[in-house]
Amino acid sequence: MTVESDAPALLLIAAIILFWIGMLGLLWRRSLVGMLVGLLFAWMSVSTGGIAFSLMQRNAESETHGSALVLCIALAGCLQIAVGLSVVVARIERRGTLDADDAGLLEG
Amino acid sequence: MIGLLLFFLSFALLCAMLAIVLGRNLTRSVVAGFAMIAGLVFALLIARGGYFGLVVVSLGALMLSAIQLFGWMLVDVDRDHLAKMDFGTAFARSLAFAVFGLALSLLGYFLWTEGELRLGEETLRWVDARAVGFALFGELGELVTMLGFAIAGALLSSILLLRDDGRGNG
Repeated sequence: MTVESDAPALLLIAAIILFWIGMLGLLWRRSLVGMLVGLLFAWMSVSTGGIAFSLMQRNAESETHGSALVLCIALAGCLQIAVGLSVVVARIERRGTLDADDAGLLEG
Repeated sequence: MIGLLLFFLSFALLCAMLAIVLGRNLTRSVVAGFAMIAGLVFALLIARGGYFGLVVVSLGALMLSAIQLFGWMLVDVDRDHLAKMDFGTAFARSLAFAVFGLALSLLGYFLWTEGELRLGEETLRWVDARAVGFALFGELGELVTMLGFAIAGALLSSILLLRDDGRGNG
């Protein structure tokens, strides 16, 4: 077993488990801030998966593609957390609670 | 080195689980989250994740800091003061989590046993995404993918159309 050959598979499996944990946070937690932490874990798992796939195909072209994908995912993750926090702040200002169950009402 | 990589990955996953499980205390949850990121940094360094691995974990730490800052501004540091979850909700969420975990476990199992992800073999370097569908559903893999898209579309439409009065009867 060498790092070069086995690390991508281990990273990929860890990414799957981390995604599972992130989804646990989204499904289980009632606090909107806690759900954001779960979302962050899910985002990190996807990025780790991207890095693992990039490591699996070690040639210049695929490495560039993998890196570009990871940067796009990183940008999307930053934006989603920024928007999510703004929504949480607006929500608390209007309703005064962090309870996600209370946010079941879609106020369109 | 593989042992070290396994250790740091296990540490990171354990900390991630703790961050979710210790949910009623924001500070503990955030600290566990930072420990998870630290474990992931070392794992990616050992795995030679390179520059983009560091970018990902740096952004992750930055986002966790933002969540921590806003969390401290918004809620009590020690508790978020939410009532205990009722049995029905807890059961439904546990079931959803169990089904989700089972699906991911099956995915990992088939990836492993069908030769697409075996450690130390050449097939490791070339993972075909379509092979996952084929391993799980055989010839029906593409049909199931289309069905999945249809179900996702229907669920999204339902969510967009669903309105209730916010008192738990919807």
